[in-house]
Amino acid sequence: MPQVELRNISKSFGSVTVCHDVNLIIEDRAFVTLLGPSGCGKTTTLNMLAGLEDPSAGDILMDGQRVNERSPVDRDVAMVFQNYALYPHMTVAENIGFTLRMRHMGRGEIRRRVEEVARSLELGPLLDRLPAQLSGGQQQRVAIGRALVREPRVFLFDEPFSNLDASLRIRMRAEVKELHQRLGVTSIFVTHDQEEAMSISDQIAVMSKGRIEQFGTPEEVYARPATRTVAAFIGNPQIDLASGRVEHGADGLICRVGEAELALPAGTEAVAGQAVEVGVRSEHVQLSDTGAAARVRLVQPVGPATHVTLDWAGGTLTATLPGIARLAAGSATAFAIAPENLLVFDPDSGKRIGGRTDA
Amino acid sequence: MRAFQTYERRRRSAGAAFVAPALAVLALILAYPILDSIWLALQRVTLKAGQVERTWVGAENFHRLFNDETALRAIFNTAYFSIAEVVLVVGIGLGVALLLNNAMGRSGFFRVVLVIPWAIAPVANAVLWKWILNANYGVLNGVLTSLGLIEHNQVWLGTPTMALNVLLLVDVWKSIPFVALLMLAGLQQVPKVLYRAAYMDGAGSFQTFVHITLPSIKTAIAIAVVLQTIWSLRVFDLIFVLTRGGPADATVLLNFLAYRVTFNFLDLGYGAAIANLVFAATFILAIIYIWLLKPRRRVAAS
Repeated sequence: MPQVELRNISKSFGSVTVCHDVNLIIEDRAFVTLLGPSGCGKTTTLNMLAGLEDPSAGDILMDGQRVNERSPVDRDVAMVFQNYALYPHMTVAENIGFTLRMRHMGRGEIRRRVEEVARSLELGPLLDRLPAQLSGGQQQRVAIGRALVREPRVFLFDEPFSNLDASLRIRMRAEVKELHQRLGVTSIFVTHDQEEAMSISDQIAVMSKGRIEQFGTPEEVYARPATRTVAAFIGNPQIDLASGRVEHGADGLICRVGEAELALPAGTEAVAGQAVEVGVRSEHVQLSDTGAAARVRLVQPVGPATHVTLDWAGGTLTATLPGIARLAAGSATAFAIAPENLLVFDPDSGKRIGGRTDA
Repeated sequence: MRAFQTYERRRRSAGAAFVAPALAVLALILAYPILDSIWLALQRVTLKAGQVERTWVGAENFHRLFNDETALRAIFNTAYFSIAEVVLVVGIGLGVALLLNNAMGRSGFFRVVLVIPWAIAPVANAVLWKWILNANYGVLNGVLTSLGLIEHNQVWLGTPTMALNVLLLVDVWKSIPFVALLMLAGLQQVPKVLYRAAYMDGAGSFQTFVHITLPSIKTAIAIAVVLQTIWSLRVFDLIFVLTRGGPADATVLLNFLAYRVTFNFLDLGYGAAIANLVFAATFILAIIYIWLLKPRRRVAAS
């Protein structure tokens, strides 16, 4: 039975609609990320799940029961906020124990549970400190502890790492993932950082302009994006797109981009003469002697790989080559793309009409 | 070689040059009178035949103060007036601030209305109340009679206890706006996300107020308490216009007593001693106020 379900959820503020008919089914014990650029409605969706905001239309279900009218405590959800939202005048122990105190739990029991949570988050020695006396990472852990102590059925995370520096963010990401593996509590995580979403989630709901563009595993949204928007949002370096026209080639359909010809993947739903957009992940671009002509514009080694920016008939294209590639800027080259690695989009609807479909 | 100053030194000397005139003026109109009044309080001063006679008496004026029934009564009245006013003003001010901080209270109209009592010139305000409270023609008697709350016109400032409490209410009315604005500023600084967090933690409205709102604005409350105490100790204009200390010295507060002793009884030394008592109390409160305003140094994370 799905634990959390959003059914036809819409949310408007006055004349502005921030969520359009959102449908989402989140399985028990799953770690699901709502991913999208700012203003895409992901935080609003999370707030509605939390019970902080009311949907304008639609139902929120937990274990098949409609919970629209229930408080966060009754829904048994706990939230970790973007800026930690620790109570500045309370110690770490008081912050963590506040929710238990609000339920009139006995002092001894509160103390026991707070200490247990503090131990699991390595906050033990900090229990008597005030939030202002803690580092960003420690504050973040207190915020998680505050959610944890309730032993909720669902964790909600609202961009919890956005205020941390890059190295700490990666460490906290691992900590949260481990926590989820250990406790197995259904978690819903909001972020605009696609790498964070990829690395932490079982499933990602990519949102754009108040709609869910695609819901799938990290691998699915990366390798088999449903739309051009998803393809462009996921992946680093960003996917390169070029406009072309479909023609009949020697072995099936090809896409012509200026002088260049790219073989389209088998099963592409297009007819000769149709305008399409093609895209490719940088690791699927291979430099070769034959193929589409290009010129090296920029070479950026990043250690394990080198990003090479090429100019070609379709604009610019990034190729990621293994190791340190020695190429001279300005030199002429050519590239090839295996047809099955090409992603083909309908330029009007943005939907993908060709490329990988295998699981 | 041209004389040169580092930027830091130039800034510092420029700063000193800017501050100097203000310091000179403050020394002239504040420091000198304060020191002179302390000096005066230690003397017996008599005015006769166009000349001033000063005799050094040490602490005699202060001894006299604590044995003078009128002065002791004034101290008691002042203490009652100040404590009652602080409690009422801070309590009601906080209530008003909470209402104004509510979504419905955010309109500028309410804030303008709120500020009016505070914006009226103090003496004009006192004169206004003199007419409102007038026993024969006053609007207060008129309104209460037409509402059927009283049968006969009341002489609001006629009996000792009533007079002091009516003065108290008038001053409370005048003082609420500033304190409410102070509290409102404090409330607006509480991060909204704390309320969301408390809601998620299952706190009800009252619990949120007690555990989140009050602790978050405790500095604003403390500042309001100290400032209001200072202002309550200084009350003069209302008494001067409305009661002149009467009836039966019931509304003689320390500040008014100092005025009366000095300018009506021309007992300059004793008057200065009373004024110094008010000054000392105010000065201590001012130090507390500055200490409250000082930003707290946070202990760095280890």
